[in-house]
Amino acid sequence: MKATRTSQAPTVPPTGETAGETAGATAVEPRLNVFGRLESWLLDGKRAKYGTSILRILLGASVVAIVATNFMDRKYIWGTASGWAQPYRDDSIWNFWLFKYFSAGDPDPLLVGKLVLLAVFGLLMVIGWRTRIVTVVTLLMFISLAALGPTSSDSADNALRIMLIYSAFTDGSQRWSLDARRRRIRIERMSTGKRRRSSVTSVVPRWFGNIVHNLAVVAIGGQVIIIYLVAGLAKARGTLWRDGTAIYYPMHAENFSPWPQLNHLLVANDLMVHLISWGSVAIQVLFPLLLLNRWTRRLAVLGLIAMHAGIGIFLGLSVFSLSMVAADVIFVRDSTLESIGRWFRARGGGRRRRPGPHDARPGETGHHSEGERHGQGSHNLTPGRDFVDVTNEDPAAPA
Amino acid sequence: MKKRPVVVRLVGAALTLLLLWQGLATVSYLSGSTQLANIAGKGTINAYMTPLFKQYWSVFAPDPIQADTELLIRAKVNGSDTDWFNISRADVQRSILHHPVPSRLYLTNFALTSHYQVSAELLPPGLQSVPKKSFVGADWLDQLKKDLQDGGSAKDAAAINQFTKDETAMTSMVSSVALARWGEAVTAVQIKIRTIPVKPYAERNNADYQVKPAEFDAGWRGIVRVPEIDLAAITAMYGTEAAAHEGN
Repeated sequence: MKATRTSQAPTVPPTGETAGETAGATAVEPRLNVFGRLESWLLDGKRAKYGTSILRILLGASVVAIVATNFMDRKYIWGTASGWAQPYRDDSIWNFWLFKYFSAGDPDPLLVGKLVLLAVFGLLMVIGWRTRIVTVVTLLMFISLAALGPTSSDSADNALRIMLIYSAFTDGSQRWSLDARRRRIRIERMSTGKRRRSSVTSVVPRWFGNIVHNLAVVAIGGQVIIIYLVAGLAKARGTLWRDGTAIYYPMHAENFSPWPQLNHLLVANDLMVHLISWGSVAIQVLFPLLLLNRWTRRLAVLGLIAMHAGIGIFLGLSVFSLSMVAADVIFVRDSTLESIGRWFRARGGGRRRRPGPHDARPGETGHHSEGERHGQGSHNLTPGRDFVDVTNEDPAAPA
Repeated sequence: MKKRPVVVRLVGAALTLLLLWQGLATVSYLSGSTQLANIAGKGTINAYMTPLFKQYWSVFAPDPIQADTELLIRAKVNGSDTDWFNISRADVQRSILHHPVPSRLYLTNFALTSHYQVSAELLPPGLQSVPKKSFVGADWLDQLKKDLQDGGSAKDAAAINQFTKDETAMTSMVSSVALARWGEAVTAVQIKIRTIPVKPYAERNNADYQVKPAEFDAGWRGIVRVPEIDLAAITAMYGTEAAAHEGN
């Protein structure tokens, strides 16, 4: 039985693959029509497990980076030396009790304590501890912080906030998380009779968790497409982008030049200026089309990651770049990331956990393989569902 | 097709519709078209998207930033004018240059300057000269408001209110920096916004080409003492020891 082919980017399964591959159907299942495949994609397992996990890790890292990099200037931006911003705070769209974790009246020790707590929550996201609730709390704390600096917020905050909202609806703990490790240990204990099955009964039915997770994955994908399309089309109207010299200008602006010499070196070459300028617009405008084919999708994601790496390094917009890269990765199939992981393991001989009694291998029947999930659709509300969302991944092991 | 309980399909359909609405609302919100933005009733989509899904993605568009914007301030101390102090240059030194992940300090003052510039430009033609006039003394803000109201009409109220808010925030910030830098004897402050264009691409190799900075000088303002503001923290950032250069 195919075990992992269903985990993929939030696109409709490409027509170039068989329904069995894309929908995780088994040899005994009938071929599904388009609606059936969509329904199966939505209901029969969680998609983009690696993508949502990477999203969780990078969003958490972004929150930590915001706290760390602004800590020295905290008083002026958010704290005891920021009272001049009060006219803006009075009219803030965030004046709501839910977003009042940070307050303009906080004395500095309290602000420090709250910032440290926010960074701790960011770290908890990175390590995947109680992921869902930690993500929601981090979101509320972050919004509150951004609202406190009305002239200190930009598109980076928009990207981070929106991705945190969608991320809260995903199960981003499927890979590389303490939650996954805890679930694996539970399974192992249950298998050795040290723990009763009922103790891990889920609050909501598995199918509901799958729907919410998968729709959130689609929402993230959709939001990313919208961002690139809007940004690309807006640039396409600009004369400097059209004549291919646009990137030269911010590279020479002081406020976008953490490393001016490096910037000047990069845009000293005519060809490079035009390639970067036209390439930036092209990849954004064409992004939705590039998603339609596996190879162009990989090219697009790699291109966008490279673009954001450049924006982060050369223009100093690191947090924005990190948030966008986090969202871009949602378009990489789990199978691709697993292949990359296998390649790295083969090349580097990385540590690998010995397979446990509950590890399913491709081609074998395991209680958490996608194929078997399909076969157990009618068991949704039985104790057997407790096994389904368990990940036996070693969080310390590479993908 | 696989047989599934009706409730599963109903919930799936309902949540999918919700997602479609989210997508439609996002596209309409970002379309820039009033017609599309009001497709679900006047203001409905805006109310739905704000604040949680508020977003703007036209960064560096339609054309990227082509100039450095600098905010300079000076003060009247014991009847004399101080030298200009370049806050923006101090911010670049403190938070951007050689910082792999720059802090938001530069953004904080840049956005404030940008708000001020935009709202000053959006004042009606008859009020364009007001920001350049001086309003000093303890009641400087009342004088400014009176000038704006006397010269404007009812339809200008939004622009006047926005400028008044930006002016209040700007003068509060500048006063705090001035008090921190030049001490308690400061009686008035003034700002200069300098725009220094990047050398045009076509002239990038022309060593003789000189860019022409544009300057906007606001009038003098009485100082604002922001309640309980931590001047020691501001001194640590913008005091004469922390940021020695004057920036002229």
